[in-house]
Amino acid sequence: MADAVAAVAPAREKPLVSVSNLKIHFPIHSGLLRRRTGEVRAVDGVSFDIAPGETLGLVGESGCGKSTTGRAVLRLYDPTDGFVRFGDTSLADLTDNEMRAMRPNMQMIFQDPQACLNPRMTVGAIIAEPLVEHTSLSASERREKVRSLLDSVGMNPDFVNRYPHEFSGGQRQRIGIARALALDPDFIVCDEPIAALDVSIQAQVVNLLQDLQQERGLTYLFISHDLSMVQHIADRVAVMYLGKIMELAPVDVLYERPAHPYTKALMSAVPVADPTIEMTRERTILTGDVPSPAKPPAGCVFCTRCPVAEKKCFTVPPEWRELESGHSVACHLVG
Amino acid sequence: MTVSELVSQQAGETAVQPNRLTDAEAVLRVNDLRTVFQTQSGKVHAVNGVSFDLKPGELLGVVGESGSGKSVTMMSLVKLLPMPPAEIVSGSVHYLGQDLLDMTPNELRKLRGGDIGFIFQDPMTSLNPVFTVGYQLIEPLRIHMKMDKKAALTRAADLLDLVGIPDARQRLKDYPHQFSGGMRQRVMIAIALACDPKVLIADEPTTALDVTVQAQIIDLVKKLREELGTAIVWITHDLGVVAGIADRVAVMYGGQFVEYADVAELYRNPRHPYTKALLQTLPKGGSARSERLVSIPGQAPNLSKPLSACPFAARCSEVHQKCLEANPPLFEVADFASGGGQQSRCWLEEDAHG
Repeated sequence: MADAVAAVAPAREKPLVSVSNLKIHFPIHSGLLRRRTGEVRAVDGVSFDIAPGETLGLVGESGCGKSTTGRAVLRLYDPTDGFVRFGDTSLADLTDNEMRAMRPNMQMIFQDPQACLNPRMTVGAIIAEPLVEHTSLSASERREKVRSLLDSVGMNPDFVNRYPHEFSGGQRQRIGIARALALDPDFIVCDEPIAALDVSIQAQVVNLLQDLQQERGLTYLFISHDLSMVQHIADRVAVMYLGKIMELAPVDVLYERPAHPYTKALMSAVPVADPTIEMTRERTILTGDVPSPAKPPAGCVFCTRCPVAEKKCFTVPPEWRELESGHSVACHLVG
Repeated sequence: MTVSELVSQQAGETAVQPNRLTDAEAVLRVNDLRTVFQTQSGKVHAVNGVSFDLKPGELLGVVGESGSGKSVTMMSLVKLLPMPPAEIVSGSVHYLGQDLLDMTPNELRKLRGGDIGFIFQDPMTSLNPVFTVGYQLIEPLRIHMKMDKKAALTRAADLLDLVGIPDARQRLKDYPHQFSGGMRQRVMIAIALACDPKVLIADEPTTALDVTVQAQIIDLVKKLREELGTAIVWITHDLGVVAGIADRVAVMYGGQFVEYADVAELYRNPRHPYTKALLQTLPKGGSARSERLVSIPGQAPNLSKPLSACPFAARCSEVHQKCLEANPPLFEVADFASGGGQQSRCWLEEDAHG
């Protein structure tokens, strides 16, 4: 089954989720009259497809808009421009009621398992809540379903009456996953699901996510800043910087032959757990900080930190080009 | 001196006394440090006999999962813990021959922020939001180095410049919220370095930062070590970071060092089952996607009682009867004097080396 999932040719078949020129701009109000004086371009023209059963990794530094993208895909934010298609439906056109009917198909796993579980609800009530909202199951059927969900995320079904504080971080993340699975979704946005966990626990949660994907044919958008974990779990990876996708490629291609200078710098910044490699390898250390998304640079957004930027990069935004099948990049100087 | 000799004699469990440095060679010598928290629901034995030496210019990496006692150990060194509930029940911490644990609060205050610098994990909560960065940088200079205002201001600007903050003199007037996360952490480093500390204790200094900024900070720390010869204790849970910067690595579990070794040796030839397991949990680059990650089953140990067995026994793949009966001492696997030294706190070493 693992091979079957891996063998799905990226974006060859009809995509499950299709994002096109998505923009999310948050207004900035200032002054005495709180007039609109500008906008934060959190996501600024992002396009990608996710095929059924695929895992698309979305990586980037904090503040690059990856979480906002994830939320916008679920229409937790209304897009400023562009659209998100789920199957054949364009989400932006739906009324609130229609959107509500779509929600069971798409779920989210959050970064902080402490913050996303209501401390005053029992585990059973937390996992049953979506069932109450979206299904007509009887109380006993719900109880049965909750028990089987707990079992499928590797937890003892007898824990239903306990409260979140009684569990460790890894267990809480499993509860969050069980809740996301309650309505048998097709698509799950995983927003940094392992960032708050210890290394030994991270592996458990990643294994669980992969097992569930194989059993249920799930499609993931896996948002993370941990490049080595994304390499492990994703089929294709998109690299974001300041609201734009810089490079998108199948995972092997991206890690072996990164084309964009930002991807290269990001890869070289990841420490390797091997002193001999660390001693010898060449690093590209980026200077400075990410510019404010309220005032993105003209031209290429990466030009202020790019080690190889040329004159053109400061004035003309690069086009999104396909280098080879499935490998696209936004850079003037590549290819 | 007699007190510390007495303590080290009492510490009966140190079956192998590692070849230790003398006061003249080491800036910091920690001997059998034990810290206990007295909580409402009983005691927590957070630090259970930690010993190490730190040479000038050396970088000791301390790795372990959350709750393994990394931070509490280093906070105990300079009594930065609230007491009570914390209590340092035994041990000695020699800084250039003086025992920090015997010092009065006033004497300690003169060292902290002066000779011994601290960098905390979260730069937002450890900088005071209502004072300018310049004020917070000048404060230790005025107190510890007795500088006048003008000299302190110049040095503060130099320090900000040193840690790579552009337009340093202007930025002294800014408040912490006007800096980005990476910048704030650099301000923290500048404050910690303000008085040319001989020992710098960095508690997860890059954990809250992005990899690109982390790379900048690590690069900076390397330069500072070479230029100033500061001895550094670098606490982290990231085995990758340690591989790149440390001379020696201590792996902590259950409030004690379970493995203590030269960095190259630790990664090439990990001895303790916990170290091995930790290294195996890291995803291997380029491995097939269907391959499962190795995880460590079970939970961190309950430290409500003094350790009477190996704390890792419940999660260990190589556990045997002896592990459940007594807590192993640190066995010497390789000699530190010959380079590439290594110690492992595991009964499996007893047969080979005991």
